[in-house]
Formats: sequence, C-alpha cells, structure tokens
Amino acid sequence: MDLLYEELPGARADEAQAHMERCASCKTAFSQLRQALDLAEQLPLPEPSPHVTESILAAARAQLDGEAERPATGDEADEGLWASILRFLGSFAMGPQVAMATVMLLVVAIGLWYVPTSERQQDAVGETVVDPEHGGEAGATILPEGVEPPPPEPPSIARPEPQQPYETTRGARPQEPLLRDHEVAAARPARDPAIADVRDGTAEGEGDAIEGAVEPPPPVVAVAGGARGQSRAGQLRTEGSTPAGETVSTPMAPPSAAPAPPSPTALPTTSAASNADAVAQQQAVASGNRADYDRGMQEYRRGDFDSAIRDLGEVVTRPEETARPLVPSALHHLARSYRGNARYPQAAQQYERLLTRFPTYSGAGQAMLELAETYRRMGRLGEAERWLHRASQNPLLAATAQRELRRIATQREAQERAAAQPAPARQRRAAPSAPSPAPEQREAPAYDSAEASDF
Amino acid sequence: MVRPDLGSLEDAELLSLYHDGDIQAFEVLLERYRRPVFNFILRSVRDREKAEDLLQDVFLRVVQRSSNFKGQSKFSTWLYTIARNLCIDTSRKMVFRRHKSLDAPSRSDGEGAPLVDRIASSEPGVHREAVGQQLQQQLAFAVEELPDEQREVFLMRQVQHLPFKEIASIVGVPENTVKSRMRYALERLREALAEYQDYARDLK
Repeated sequence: MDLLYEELPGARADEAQAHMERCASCKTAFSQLRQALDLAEQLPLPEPSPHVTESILAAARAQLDGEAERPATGDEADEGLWASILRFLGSFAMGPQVAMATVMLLVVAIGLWYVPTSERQQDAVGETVVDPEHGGEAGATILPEGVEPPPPEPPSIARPEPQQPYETTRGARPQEPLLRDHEVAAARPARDPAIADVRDGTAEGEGDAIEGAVEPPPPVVAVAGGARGQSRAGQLRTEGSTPAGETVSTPMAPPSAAPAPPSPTALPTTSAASNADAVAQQQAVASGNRADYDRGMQEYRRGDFDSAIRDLGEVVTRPEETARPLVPSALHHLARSYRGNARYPQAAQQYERLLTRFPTYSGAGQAMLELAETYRRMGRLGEAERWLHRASQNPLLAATAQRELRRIATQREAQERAAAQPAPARQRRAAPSAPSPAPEQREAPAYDSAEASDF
Repeated sequence: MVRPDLGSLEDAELLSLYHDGDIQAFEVLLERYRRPVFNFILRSVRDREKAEDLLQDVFLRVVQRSSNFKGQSKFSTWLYTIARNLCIDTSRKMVFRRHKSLDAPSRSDGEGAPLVDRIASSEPGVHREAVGQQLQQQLAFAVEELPDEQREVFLMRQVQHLPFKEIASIVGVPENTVKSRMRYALERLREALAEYQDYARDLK
C-alpha cells in the first residue's frame, strides 16, 4: 500500500520495484491495485446543500455570541448578583406596601395560570419543532390532532424507535438567552445545545413536545412542503420570536391529547387566529404526509414490505397538494414493495399507475424495466416485451432492455419446445411462468439478484 | 471575504482563533472539511438528507466543544472520530438491508430513483460521458456496499487523504490492519467495476 501511494522510502521502493520485475504474480497484483485506485479516483464527491453550511456557520456565530454574553469574570458577576439580591431583600423593609403589591401580583399570576383549559387548547400549538422536510426517523412524529380532515391513521405521538430529537420542544425553557437559542435552533432546530448528548434527549424532547408549554400560537414560520433547503433557510430567517424565545416551530394541535387518541378541538374565533390555524393545519398535514412517506421508505429499505405497503399506500391516496411531490416516489416504492412480497399482480398495477400518472417521472425508465420483469414473472411475456421496447428508447437503458428482450425470447422458445413435446414429457416440465430451463437460470438479471429483491 | 492569511494556518490554530472569537477562522476550517466529511457520512448512511443532518451534528459538536480541544491529537483525527461515531450510532438505529438494486437508494428525495443499472454497454451509440456517469454511480454504489470496516478506511484515505497511521488511531486498529482493509476495499471495488476498467484506464 505504501508503494501504491508512493509513500515508500526511496530504497525500499526500489527494492519493491525490482522484486516485481522478477515476480509476475506480485506485479499483477500491484497492477490490479493500481487499476482499482484509478477507478476509485472517479468516486463522485457531491457537495452538501448550501443551507447546511449556512446553518453550521449560524451555530458557530451563536456559540461565540453566547460566550460573549456571559460575564467577563465570575467574581464581578457574583458580587453584582449578590448585591442585587441584598438590595431586593432590603426593600422588604419598606413594609406592608411591598407585601401587598407582591400578594396582588401573585393573585394575578395565579388567575392567569388557571385560565380555562379549553381556551388554552384552542390557542395552544406547543413549541414542537417539526421540520416538515425532515421526516423519516428524525422527522415529525406528532401528527395533527383535531385537524380536518382527520388523519388517516391514529397519530403517532412518539415514534416506536428512539430517534433524534427533531421534535424537541423548546417552549419548556423559556428563559434561555433568546439570541443564542434562536441561532442555535436555526442551525439545529430540534436540538438543545444545553443537552450534551442530544440523542439521549430524544425521549425528553418528545415528552416535552407532548406536554409542552401551552402558549398562544407563535407566528407561523416553518415552511411546509417545498424544498428542504427552503425549509431550513426559512428557519434561519424566522422572525417574531415568541416570548419563549423559540421561533422555529410548527403550530400543532393541543398537547393534552397527545398520549390519548385525538379529540377534536374548536378553532380560534378571531380571523387572524383562524388564518394562522388554517396554515398551521396545512403545515401539519404536510409534515404528516412527509412523515408517512419517510417511514414507508425506511420500512422498504429494511425489507419490511408489509409496513411499507401500508404507509406508502397511504401517501399515494392523499388528496392534499402537499402530498403530490411525494406520490411518484411513493408509488414506485410501493410497487417495489409488492414485488418484494412476490405480489406481482399488485406490483404491476402500481407500476402501471405510476407510469400512467407520471410519465415524466425521473425513474420512469427504471420503473419500466421493473414492470417488464414483473410481467415476465407473471408469464405475461407480451406485456413484458411491450414495456421493454418502451424502456429501450432510453439510450441509457437500451442495453438492459435488449438483454431482457433476448431473455424473454429464450423463455418463449423454451415454452414452445415444451409445448411441442409429447404429453408425458410435457407433464414433467415446469409451468410456463415457473423458473425456466438451465440457460436462463444461469443468467441472472443484472438488476435483480434475489427473488425478493428489487431494483 | 475571508482573510487570505487564514488559509495557511494549521487546523488547530484556526480552531483556537475561532475559540477566541474569529468566525472567519471557523469558515476556513469548515471549508477544508465540509465536503470530505459530508462524503464520508454520505457513503456510510446512504441517505443524503440524513448525511446533511449528521454533517451539521458533527460541526455542531465541534463548535460546542472547541474549548475542549487542546491539540492533544490532530484536528482531523478528532473531527473524523466524531463523524465516525455518529455514523455508527445512526447505522445502529437505521438497520436496513441494502438490496442488490440499481437504484442505489442513497437518495431519499421526492423523485426517487437516480441513474440506472450497471450497463456493460459496448454499443457504439453510448456517449462516453454517459458511461462515465454510470461508472460514478456504480462506484458510489460499490463503495456503499463495502463492509463497514473497509469502507471507512477507504473513504478516510481516498476522500480526506488521511495518513494510514491517523486512520489507525481513529478506528482503533494497528496501521497494518488499516492497510489490509484498504487493499481489500480496492480489490472489491475492482471486481465490482471490472467492466469499467478500460474506461478508467483511458481517463488516466
């Protein structure tokens, strides 16, 4: 390896080269490694999205700002603090006036605290930070409650598996320095920098989200749907901080319903509140769509096709406009999930839906190949050939499509030979749609190396 | 506009300057490592969105713990240790099987399937650029399919150009073990991409 990377000292490198001149196997091995390294140089190295850099820099600035806000020296701060406390306590020496004022303040505060729960539920949106673009395992886990139309499945308040605390509410910590938290929240909206290892805070964050502060609805700032970059950038630009200091939030339904099945809640009566609530509902629906999509994709990737079929099947039936961008991919992976479960007729149906509804889908060509293979497995060779001919119009797919067409031709010939043989021999043959004779069995498709696999 | 003098500073110096309040120093540091670390994470977790999130996590920890970094090790060692640990944690939570498929499900954007299959096309009509794109896609796929211990060594060496000795300290194995893993990784990639070797040779 050192020689390969030209890191071998001169004398030793000369020795190694001399050896390879004498030893053909070593020379061959080295040459092959050299070829592999040449290939490895072609590895694409994409850049992260620009908003990622912005978020990181925002966090870096916030960290510096936060450190700058802290007192210069501890002694001076303590002295000042203690002096203030002493002065405050000394003020009580003024007597009953202060005492009466304090009591009145307490009464007012208690009275405000016990505002009827229903009113709070109507207003409340919690401080749950849900990035509608970051569903999946770290994404929105709190589905809208009391939102019309009702969610298609019971809201999953807490994800079954512990995940990153994107949903960590910030409302429960209202007195942290606003600027620092805002900036840090912008960089990492669901993470509390005060939590050293944020993964351990997942349950805490979710619990807070469920039981979090019941506040008047903050301004709607999160961007529902659309580009993920826009969403994070939007978070960086959020304005109108709530008194709690947390601005990255998606107004959500009442937290009190979180552990239990959802209960409908009345909408605010004021027009401004109605608009905000309507937008909040839309965002919640969008985040719910994304969450289902991401969950379905994860289930597909880990081979849990039954669950993927369920969740992706939900997404493709959603009427909301916000679900539309997700539908093509959801349909594609729904079809693949059916194939993974060897439910070929259902898979074919979904592929057909995908290619009919979204002919310009970027994965249409691939879907055609997969649909053709599905039909081939069903024994519907004519339809398989039809889709392969369509796929072959894409120059990047032509070779594969042609190879599969040849395969089908071989399969047809085998069927014809089987049909032409005498009856007893024919009875010993497999059915037309069953695994074919040896030549085809040895030729595994380039894109399908396992029975239950998909592309 | 980042000060030009910062570019010549060592990583530890930049981090120290940042800790003293110089945000531009951190920008330079981020610019150095952003892309390689992102690709290290991307090929490990095979999901662009997740990789971007983890990239933020990595640098957030750097930001939060910059005062704790006293230069006992190289900054890159520290950085990649953080990144590696986060990838391991994430992989444990995201247990999924990769299917042998052409779609290279490392993308999770709304449009799904990226480029196409491994096509050993010898048809004269196929454009060289298209073959190059296929090679890149297949190479990325093959890297993602490497065993974890081989892939991390390969990426740290190939993407970040870390010395084998440093990689050994990051992953906690002897240097010779690291070199062996690198060799196995190259051999696997060569086998997976045998059909593209002529193309790659032409590129040199």
